[in-house]
Amino acid sequence: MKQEPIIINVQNIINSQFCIDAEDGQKIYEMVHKALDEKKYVILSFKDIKLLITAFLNTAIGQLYKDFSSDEIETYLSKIDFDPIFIPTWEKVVNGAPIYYSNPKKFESDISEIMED
Amino acid sequence: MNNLPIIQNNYIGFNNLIDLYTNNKNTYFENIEINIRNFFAANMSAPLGVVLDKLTSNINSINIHVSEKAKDILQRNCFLSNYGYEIKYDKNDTTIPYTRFSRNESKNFADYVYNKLLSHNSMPNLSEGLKRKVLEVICELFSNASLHSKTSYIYACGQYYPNLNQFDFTIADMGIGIRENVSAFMGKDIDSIKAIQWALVDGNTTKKSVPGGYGLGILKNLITYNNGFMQIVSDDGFYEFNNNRETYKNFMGKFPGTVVNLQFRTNDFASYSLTNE
Repeated sequence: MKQEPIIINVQNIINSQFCIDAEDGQKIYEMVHKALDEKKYVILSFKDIKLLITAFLNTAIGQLYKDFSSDEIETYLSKIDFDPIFIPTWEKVVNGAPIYYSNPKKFESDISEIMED
Repeated sequence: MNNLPIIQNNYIGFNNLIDLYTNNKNTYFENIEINIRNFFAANMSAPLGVVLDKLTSNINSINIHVSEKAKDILQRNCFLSNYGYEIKYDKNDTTIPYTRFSRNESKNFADYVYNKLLSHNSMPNLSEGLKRKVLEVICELFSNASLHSKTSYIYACGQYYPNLNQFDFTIADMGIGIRENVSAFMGKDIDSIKAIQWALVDGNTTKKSVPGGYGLGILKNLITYNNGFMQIVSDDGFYEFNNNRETYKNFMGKFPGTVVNLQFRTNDFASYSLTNE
C-alpha cells in the first residue's frame, strides 16, 4: 500500500513568501533528500509563495539530481499550490540539473569554446 | 576638482564614472571634490555610489557640489543624503530611491522592488503576474551579486519616465567582478568580455557542485519581449543587449565591481505571455 505523502510547506520552512536565497533552498533540499533516501513520498506546498528564483530552486531541487535519478525524483516528489508563473523557472531547473550532473565535461568544453573564439 | 561630464545610460556614461574612479583611486586621506553640473541619469546613482564608497574606503571624504537641476533629482532619490544634503520630497513620484543593501538582505530587496518599483502608479497596465516576472529577474541579479561578488553592499536605484513610458533600474556591487570570478573558476586569466560572454550562456555557473547560471538568460528573454535594454559593466568590460543586438566593448579603465543596468517599457508588456521563457 502506498504511504501517505508528507507535505512540506515551503513558506513555513523558510519563513518567507520569497524563495530567493540558496540558504533557504538548502533547508528544503535537506528535508526532501532525507525523504527520498527513505523512499518516502513528499509533496512541496508552494502556498502563498510570491517569488521563486533559480538560485533558490537549484539548491532546493536541482541538487537532488546529484544523488537521485529523474525517475526517482518524479516518483517521490510532487508539488501543489504552484503558481503557473513559476513553471518556466521550475522546468529550467529540473531540465538543466540532470545535464549538469550527468555531463560535467560538457561545461568544461563550453568554457574551451569561448576561450578559443 | 572632479567635473563629472554628462552621465547617461550608455557606454560613455559608464566610461565617465570609470574615469572618476581611475583619477582618484590612488588618493588617500584627502577631501575629494566632485562637481555635478551636467545631466545625470538618476538611476546611475547606483554605480556612482559604488565609486564613491570605494574612494571613501581609502579614508577620503567626499564633497559633492551640484547644480540646482541635478540637485533636485538626486535629493528626491535620496542619493545626496549620503553626502550632507537633505532628502527632498518626491512630489513627482518618479524616483525609486537609491538604497544600499547588505548581501543577506535579499527579502528586503524583494520588498523594495515590489513596493517601490512595481507597485508604482506608472505601471497601471502591468498584470500581477508580469510584475512578479520582473521581480523574479531583478532578484536573480541580486542573488548573483550576493553569491558571487563578495561585495559589502548591493546598490540599487531607479527612475520612471512616465512621458516616455519607461523605467530605468540599476543594480551594482563593489565586488570582485565577473572576470576575476570566472578566471578563478577556470584556473586561468581571461578577459572581461570573454567572462561576460561565458556568464551569459544559460547554465554556466561558477558555483561548485550546484547547478545554476540561468538568471541572465531569463532576464535577456524578458528584455527581448519588452523591447527594453540591458547593459552589464564589469571590470573593463561593457555589454549591451538592445533591439536584439549584442554589443561588447572594453573601457580603458576598470569599474570597481559589476553593474547591471536595465530599461523596461511600461507600455509594451502586452506581447509578453507568461508561458514564454
